[in-house]
Amino acid sequence: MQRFKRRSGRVRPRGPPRPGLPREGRHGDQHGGRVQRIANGIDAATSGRLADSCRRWPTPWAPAGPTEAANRSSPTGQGCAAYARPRRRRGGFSGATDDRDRGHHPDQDRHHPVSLLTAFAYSRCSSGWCRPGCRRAWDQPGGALRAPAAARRRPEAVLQVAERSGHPGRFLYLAAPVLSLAVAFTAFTIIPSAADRPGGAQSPHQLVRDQHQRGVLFYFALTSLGVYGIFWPAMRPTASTPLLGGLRSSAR
Amino acid sequence: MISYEMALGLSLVPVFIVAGSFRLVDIVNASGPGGSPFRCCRPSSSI
Repeated sequence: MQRFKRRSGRVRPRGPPRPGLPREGRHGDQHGGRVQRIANGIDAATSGRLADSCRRWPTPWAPAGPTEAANRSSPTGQGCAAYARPRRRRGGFSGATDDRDRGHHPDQDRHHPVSLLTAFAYSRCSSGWCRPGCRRAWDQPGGALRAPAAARRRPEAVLQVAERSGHPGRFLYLAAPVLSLAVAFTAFTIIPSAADRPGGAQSPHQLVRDQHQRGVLFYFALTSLGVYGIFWPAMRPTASTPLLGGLRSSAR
Repeated sequence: MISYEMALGLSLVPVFIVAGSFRLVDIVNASGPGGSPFRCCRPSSSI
């Protein structure tokens, strides 16, 4: 068998690779891909261990309870600041699956009403809330119909951005439904359900006495503020696509 | 969007003129038993 000597002094036979040791990677041909496979295994094992330790990580939405005991036993000691999950891609399109998807947690599967309505009713906005990997659906046939389905299967991939503490769009994301409900209930204060009593007394079913005769204008002003309840969840400085979706939704 | 909102807003103007007030209570009283229903005196706005 013809042999040659490499710079490292290691002698290896010339010819096709041996069976069972395929050439993988750009630099893995020297070892038949074994180094790369071992590295991937270590990475997956480490990520899986971190994911298991953080599986009981409490969220602001979930009540505190036995999760705190598991939280103290986490390797980080303070919740799970570096939690991750194995870099394993599922079959087919299943939402965000890139490396930045490590913010997902089972306890974070809370459906935000405004965001879900926006995501399902306006699919382009839902793709903007997803990770860049989620946008692969738009490059595939029927992607406009598959992106909302993926968001429905994994809503945490859509909602994890604003549920992450410290995110710049978190405040507006959480304040939007508060504004919508406040505007809706405040508008009911000027709507009378009975006529005024004789002599100018206030109607017993009207919450606020409109002495300045501007009830309709007040109602119009309140309903105009309700537009921000739709637009605020989409306002994020890290992406422009949801901003366009929220603008379109508020215009509608 | 602007077109239908303009028509919607202008349809309310005759109601305000007839009622003489922006108060919802006055508008209700103007179209109640003491007054005439708006859809009779202002059919265009009703449509």
